[in-house]
Formats: sequence, C-alpha cells, structure tokens
Amino acid sequence: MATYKDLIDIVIMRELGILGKERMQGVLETLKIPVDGAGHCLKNDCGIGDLDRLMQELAARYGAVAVMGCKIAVGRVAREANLELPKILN
Amino acid sequence: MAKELDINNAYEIAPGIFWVGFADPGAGFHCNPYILNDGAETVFLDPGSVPHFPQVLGKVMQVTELKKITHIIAHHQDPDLCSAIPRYEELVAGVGGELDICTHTRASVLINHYGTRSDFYRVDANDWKLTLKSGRTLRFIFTPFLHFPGAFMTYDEQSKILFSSDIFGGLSFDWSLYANEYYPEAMKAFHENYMPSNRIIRNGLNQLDNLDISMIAPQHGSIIKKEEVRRYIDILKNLECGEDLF
Repeated sequence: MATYKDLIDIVIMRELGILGKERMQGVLETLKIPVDGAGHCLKNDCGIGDLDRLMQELAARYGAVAVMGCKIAVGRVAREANLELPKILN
Repeated sequence: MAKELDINNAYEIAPGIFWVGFADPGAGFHCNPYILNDGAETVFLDPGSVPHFPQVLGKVMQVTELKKITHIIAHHQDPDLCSAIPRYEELVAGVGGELDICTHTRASVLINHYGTRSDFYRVDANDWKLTLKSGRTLRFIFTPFLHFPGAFMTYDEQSKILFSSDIFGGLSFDWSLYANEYYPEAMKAFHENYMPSNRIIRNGLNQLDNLDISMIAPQHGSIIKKEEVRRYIDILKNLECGEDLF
C-alpha cells in the first residue's frame, strides 16, 4: 500500500521532467528533503504535512503548471491507498 | 559535424524544415511552430499565439519570404497555435501573397472566430492529404478527441517527420528542443491533463504502427528523435488519463 513517501516520490519524479533537475534540487534543498541519486526521498516517516509543504513550495515558485503536472498522478495513487490529500492537490 | 543549437534563431531540424518557436525561459508551456520550405511554396505549421508573434515572425523571416507562405496548417483551433493567424494573413496579403488554412471542418468553424479571411482547405474533405506543387505529399492522420474532436497530425512523406500537434507534447520549465532523459515525465504530465482516455490515445496511435517516422515534432514540448520514437509511442499507449482516472 502506498504511503506519503511514495506520493512525494511521484511528485519528485514528475517534477524532474517538468522543472528539470536543477530547479527540483533547489526546491528539495530549501525544504531539506533528503533524496538519493535517483531522486527517491530518503525520509521514511513522511506525512501529509511534508507533501503539503512540497506542493506549496512548488506552487509558490512555479505556479499552476507545476501543481497540475503531478496532481492527477498523485491523486490516483492516493485514492487507491485511501490517503488524504492536502487541499492544494484536491 | 553537428550544427550548434541556437534557439534564438530559426533552427533547421531537417533539410528545409525549421523550428521557429519562442523559447520563453519563464514559461512551463512552450509552443513549437514549424516552417516547411518546398521550392516555391512554404507551409507554416501551427503558427502560434499573439504574445509569441514578434519572436516567431522574426524567425520565419530568417528562413522564408512571407509571399511564399501558401499554406498554414492548424492542427486544431486553440489560441496557442492559431491566434496569430490573422496577423500573418495580413502580412502575407500585404506583399501580394495568398494562403489557405488547412484544418479539419470541425476546427474551421471555430478558427473563423479569430477573424481569419483565408479560404479553408478542409483536410477531411480532401482525402486527408495535401499535395504541393512539387508533388510532395503531406498526409493528415485523424486523431479524434486527442484532444479536440477534429484533431489530426501531419506526416511529411518526404522527410518522414510526424508533426504530431498536441500528441507527444509536454509541460516543461526545463524546455529543450530535443527530448532529454526526463521528457517522458513531462509528456505524461501534459497528457494526463489534456487527453480524454487511454482507449482514445490507442485509437489514434495505432495508426502509427507501420509508419516510418524519422522524428516526432510536437506542437508543445520537445522533439523526439528517430531512435526514441517507438519507446515514446509505447509510453503513451500505456498511459492512463482522462476518464481512466475516474
């Protein structure tokens, strides 16, 4: 069953395509989200607050395109795992 | 030796075929107009929007004369690819030229509302092809509901380039003319947001199964080179989107 860490992994992977590696690394460094070389989140106890902060930062820096680019993919997995989503992804 | 890629100028992606878009560094949604020069005739594919008009016009004039533009192909009616058409019509008419707008009948009734004045060459009423004076044939491939009901792609039989309109497009702040390693994610993001279902994507893309494609040149996002064409087709054929997600 998917967890919030999995949802954050989906966001990171998707944003590597939308924002590119440098911009995404900048966001992750600001939020102090540790990742491995493949872009997988190394923090295992992620919660809805972590996902919310990540999305808020993406929205603040890059606007609607960055949010809509991962909203559907994240929403599908969250629904399957019965995970509540932060308001920004609803 | 490979040509240096300078996106501040028109860039020749194949002999006589040029990308003439505006690479807006602050945008996450890029548009790709193309020019196809064929002897005395120039075909202008998806000319673009009003805000991009000055930059695109400058590049167009680097590679052709306005009077030579005989056809504009509008793969559907959206403003990001069509809203500048009246401005080009005015310029072409001003130098004594005349052009047709090649589009589907369904799109033509909407494109009229931009205030266009050219005749329409309705692809669905012309055997889904356009033959230029040289004999070169552009084939139109109907892709209904991807994402417009009258959407289509253009296949140039000479260069074997597939001008795919919105299909294979991507959302990207990290835009590059040619697709990079992360482009599949940018492409998925675009299709999840704009395409209606996997069944409809497959219906459109199955027509490409036996087509010899040298390059996919989408209207958004990045160009896909020959060696990656089949991989990207497979990615889209397996993507859930639209109604699949309800």
